Amino acid sequence: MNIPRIAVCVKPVPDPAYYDKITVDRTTKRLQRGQAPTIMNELDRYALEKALQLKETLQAEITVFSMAPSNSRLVLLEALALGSDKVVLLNDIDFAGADTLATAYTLARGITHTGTFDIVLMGSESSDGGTEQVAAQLGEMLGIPRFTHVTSVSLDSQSGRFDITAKHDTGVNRYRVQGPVLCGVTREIATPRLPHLRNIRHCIEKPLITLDSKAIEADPQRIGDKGSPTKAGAIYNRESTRQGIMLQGTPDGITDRILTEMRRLGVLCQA
Amino acid sequence: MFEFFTEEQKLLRRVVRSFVNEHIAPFADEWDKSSHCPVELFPKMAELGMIGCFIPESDGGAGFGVMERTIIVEEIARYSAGLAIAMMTNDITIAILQAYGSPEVKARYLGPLLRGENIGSFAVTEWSGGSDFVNQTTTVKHTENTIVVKGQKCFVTNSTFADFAIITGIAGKDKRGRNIITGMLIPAETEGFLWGRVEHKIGMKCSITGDLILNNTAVPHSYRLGDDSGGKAIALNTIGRYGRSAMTAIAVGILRGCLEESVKFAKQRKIYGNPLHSLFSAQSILAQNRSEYEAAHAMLYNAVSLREDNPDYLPRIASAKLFCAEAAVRAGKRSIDMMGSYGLLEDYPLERYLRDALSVIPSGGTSHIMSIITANDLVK
Repeated sequence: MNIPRIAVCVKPVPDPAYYDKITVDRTTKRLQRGQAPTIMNELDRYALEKALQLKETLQAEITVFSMAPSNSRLVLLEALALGSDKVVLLNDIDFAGADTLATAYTLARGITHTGTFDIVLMGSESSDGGTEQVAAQLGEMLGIPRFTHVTSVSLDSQSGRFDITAKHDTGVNRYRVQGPVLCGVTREIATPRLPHLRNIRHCIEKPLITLDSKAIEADPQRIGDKGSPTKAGAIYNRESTRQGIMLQGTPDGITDRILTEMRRLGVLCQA
Repeated sequence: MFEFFTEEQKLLRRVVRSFVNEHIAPFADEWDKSSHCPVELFPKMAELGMIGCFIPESDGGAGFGVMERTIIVEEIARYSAGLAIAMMTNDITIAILQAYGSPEVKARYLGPLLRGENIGSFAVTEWSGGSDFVNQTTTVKHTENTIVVKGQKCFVTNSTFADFAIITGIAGKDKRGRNIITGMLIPAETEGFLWGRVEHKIGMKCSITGDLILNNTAVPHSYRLGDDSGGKAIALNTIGRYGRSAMTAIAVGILRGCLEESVKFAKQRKIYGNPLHSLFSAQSILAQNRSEYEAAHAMLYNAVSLREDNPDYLPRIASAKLFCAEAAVRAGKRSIDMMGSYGLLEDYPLERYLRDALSVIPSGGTSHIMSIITANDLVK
């Protein structure tokens, strides 16, 4: 097997520490990020860490793909400082408003345009969307076996086979599969590192390539808002109210009524 | 706010902040309460390249400069001013060794320092006062094979655990009758090297400060730093360049702490049925905290961005330290005022920030000395 080639999909997301600065445009129904800086989606950081570990043991080559606005450069530079070899930024005004399907399509076009890869790694979900759909959709569009909730992955470089463990609600499944594959990973996959400050100085020298919709020969009907069958419905503030009930009677009687009510609401198990 | 950071500097700040959030913020209060300097964290900081980040890559550093080092100190000081001063003192010794150390001394100490395995201290102040530097009483005598030092230093940061001290002493008089000041490195294991009393300070309690006694302590000539009369330049240049910028960064870090914590409290605290920030008196305090933080931040990084050989650098950083240190004290005091009795509680970090801010003022030159430097520059 030649040097393994790894693709990692990274999504810049709003920093959760600034969620109180985020609003929703009531007309377009899109997030207004305001002053909130973008950071690397947490699970994508775990995926990148796994890629870095594979690179250290197998001399693999890592290419990071991201569909993002140009103000996400810091996130992408961090990916380079961590040890990625190249970043491909998929950036076009026509990509705006993409749902998971259009995002997966755009990423698939970007990856296919750039080359062939033995494995595509990404977080199982994003911290802002949380749909868990993109990994599965991207795997289908690339036409390769795809696994989500992956907790471990290793590669036999001689045979090109991957050993993959994926968890589900009641246990784990183990797979041995010939590459290329796509894995949507969980936090169990690895412990992310921070880049050495020295590498921050050098990350700027690494290739950060920007591709627009024409460069990746994307179908205009399948990208951005146009290519997104998901439409936001009504937007409303969730109202929460508290109902106070005055209980009167003897202490024992009041206690019995409280316990009965708590059992009815499921707070306590039935006696 | 200073708005002209490069992409690398912005990324560096982001990475250091992640480190601080995980390894420093959750523990800073406990270190303060127990007066514990977290020396165990130095190897971790070194692993990331935070220690001596201004040392060239060829010598094992990250190859950055004073600007990046200032960002690192500010980020640490946001949560632990005490650790920031311990780290910045260690950095001063690294800068001195890099510039003035003999090949033998550099080979012995630079690597372990950059790996966080060794920690340095910088001992120049004596009981007569740090500002009366040329009239110190520590003596240096040259013998055939050694330099023998006798004297006592005080307010030594990283005392009790540092692996060595960089000290200065009087080696004689020059032709014009002025004191010749020599600088040298003395390993802590040298005979006659004794850590003295430890001071119990109002703030920066997790930075250990104490006396150093040198009782006819002898080191080889190769442990001298620079030439025989280089001690004054070594001490004053390094304090001016690396010390004062870092102390100002610590003040800015404390200011940011006061700003963020006062906003948090004003949002959470309900009074008269509304959040505290709905009161004009609280709004006024929040606005002052923000204004002073923004001004302090811009002053610090504008001054630090000047080149070392720029004659404006020393008065500009002196002005910045004067303003930022005093502003940090003001921010701590008024934030506590806004919080009422809650501000006095150790459950909130503001009382610690105020204590730390008070401790910034004398370190690296008092506000009065900063005023003198600034004023002299204006009327020269």
